[in-house]
Amino acid sequence: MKRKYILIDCFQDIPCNPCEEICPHKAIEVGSPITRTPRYYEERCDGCAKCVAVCPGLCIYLVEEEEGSDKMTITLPYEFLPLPRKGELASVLDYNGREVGQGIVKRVKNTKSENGTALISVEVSRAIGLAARNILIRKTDDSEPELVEGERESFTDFQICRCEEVLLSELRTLAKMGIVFAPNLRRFSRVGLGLCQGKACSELMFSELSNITGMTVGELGHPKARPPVRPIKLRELFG
Amino acid sequence: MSYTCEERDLVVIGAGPAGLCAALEAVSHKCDPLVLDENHRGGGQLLKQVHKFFGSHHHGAGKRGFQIGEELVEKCEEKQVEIRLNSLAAAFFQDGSILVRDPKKIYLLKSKATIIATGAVEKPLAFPGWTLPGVMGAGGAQTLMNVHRVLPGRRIAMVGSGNVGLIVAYQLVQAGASIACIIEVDDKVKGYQVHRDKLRKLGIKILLRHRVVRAEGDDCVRAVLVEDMQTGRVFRYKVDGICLAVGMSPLVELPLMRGCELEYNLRLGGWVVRHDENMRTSCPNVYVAGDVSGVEEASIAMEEGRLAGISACVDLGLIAKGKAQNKRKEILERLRELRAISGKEVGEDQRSSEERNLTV
Ligand SMILES: Cc1cc2nc3c(=O)[nH]c(=O)nc-3n(C[C@H](O)[C@H](O)[C@H](O)COP(=O)(O)OP(=O)(O)OC[C@H]3O[C@@H](n4cnc5c(N)ncnc54)[C@H](O)[C@@H]3O)c2cc1C
Ligand code: SF4
Ligand code: SF4
Repeated sequence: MKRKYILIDCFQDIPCNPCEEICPHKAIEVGSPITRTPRYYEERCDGCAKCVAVCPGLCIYLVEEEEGSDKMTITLPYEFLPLPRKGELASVLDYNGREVGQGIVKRVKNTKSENGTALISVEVSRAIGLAARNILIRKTDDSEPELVEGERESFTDFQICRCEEVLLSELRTLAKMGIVFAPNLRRFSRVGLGLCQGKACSELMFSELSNITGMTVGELGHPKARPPVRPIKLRELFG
Repeated sequence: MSYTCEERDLVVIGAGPAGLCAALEAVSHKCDPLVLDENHRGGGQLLKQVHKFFGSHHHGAGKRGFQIGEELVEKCEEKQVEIRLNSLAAAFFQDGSILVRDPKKIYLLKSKATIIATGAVEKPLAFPGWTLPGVMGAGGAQTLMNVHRVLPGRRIAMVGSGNVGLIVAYQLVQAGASIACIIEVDDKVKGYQVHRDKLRKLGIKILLRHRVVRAEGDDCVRAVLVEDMQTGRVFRYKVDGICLAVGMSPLVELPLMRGCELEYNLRLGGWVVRHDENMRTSCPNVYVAGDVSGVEEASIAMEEGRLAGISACVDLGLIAKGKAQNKRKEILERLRELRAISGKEVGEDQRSSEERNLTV
């Protein structure tokens, strides 16, 4: 007897239901509200794998098993290039990305209806079958990080506003002198008056001020905006 | 100096999901909107989203972000909505006129109603070395690889485990880079479990309760030093790129210039434009929609765009109030569903970014 069913690794309440929408046999139900996790009715499922391809979470897997066989086939969603080829041997990874064994690629389906999510069917031994969640895409550089001693205490200065090249220490010095009103601090330090018009540094200045004054960023008041929002050449303006 | 001045009924600033949906809503009420975008293509953030979206079929779930964007642009073309690309709204004056710059000229637009849908900008995170080439916003990295086909680095550290951080990390791997680590100050992953799992199933680690100490390098990033906040131990990861995904701030300059009131809401990205349920701001005939009114999601931006479109048409006298009310009710119902969960997620993302700021 052949059995086909899916596994769904979708455990969190998220607003999502394409799996329910696409299933031709109502074998998956999300219902209302849309944040409910999907429920699966195996008896209605014919193993078409449409849900495997549509799921934006790439978390549905189709399992095919046959009574008496020590092999099973897992169909997984795959969004990497190059695609594996039929007959190829692939390293099989589990939920934690650990290699659990090898499998043979039996089918590769990548038509328009999958919309870029290829369906890779891998034949694996029954022992690892239900754990299979991925195949190795390429050898990655997993060199271990090195431990660094005596790093924590040292203060290193750095620019807080890169357009006007203002250092964090300069800003702090001004603030210590009592210039904690944002528009004044801006005039004295020039933070936020450069080319980007404060898109990056303004936020940093306000959070620094918040640290110094103990006021929340909200209480400090919002930055002002003056035209133009992007730099425009005078030549363009005055032709 | 005087500029030519063109008069319009409705101007929409920003051709992202919010702006395009606002324009589509407006044409359906026989309004003739003009959409401005400084980019050379319409679609906003959606242009670079190569992943499949969540949500319901109503918001194009299961489709890829850029496909949703393309569809919106096509619909606008079908309905003959005028979209002016490469057109920057450089200023929005208190008298209601908009200064526009395109590659050829600068001109003024005077509109009876204006919908601002300018989206958001990535928040910075400053640490020693953050100005080195190779340190960039995650959204910037996404634009580089998905729009311009340039790999931002070979081995990258991602800062922030919200949905943006997780999605961009995954896309970096798809594009051929490797992820050295994902760094998160909080004790739990901020983004959706399924996004986290995509990385987990590739064996990529998320370092919880960790923070960036500094970036090292001479002419560009060579390594990032990361502190385990529980043990105080510092580790050096060799990388040539650091991507920052610590939240977005609404781009509120234009409404601010116009005189719209802001309000501070950390959950929604900081300073957002104050607006009512129907997207009206404190200035008459000025509306906001999408990330500029609070950083949320594309599906929410689309619904807000529709609401703003309806409000503008009501105020222009193009729809009867009763008819508008029914449409609004449907949209508000969908928004409530969408926000039931996603609001919470976004909120957490933002809060942690604030905690992280500059505590060197
Ligand atoms: C990495 C990433 C992944 C995401 N994934 C998802 C997801 O899976 N699902 C989801 O629902 N959402 C997702 N989002 C969020 C979604 O992209 C945004 O919420 C949505 O795009 C906001 O739409 P918007 O129209 O408000 O702004 P935007 O899409 O940002 O559009 C704003 C437009 O305004 C233009 N503009 C700005 N200023 C001016 C000006 N002065 N003059 C002229 N034009 C201007 C810009 O060029 C831009 O085209 C993701 C975001 C990111 C960064
Ligand atoms: S495999 Fe096909 S029939 Fe079974 S749940 Fe998925 S979509 Fe429905
Ligand atoms: S489509 Fe995937 S992520 Fe969405 S609810 Fe269904 S199983 Fe979960």
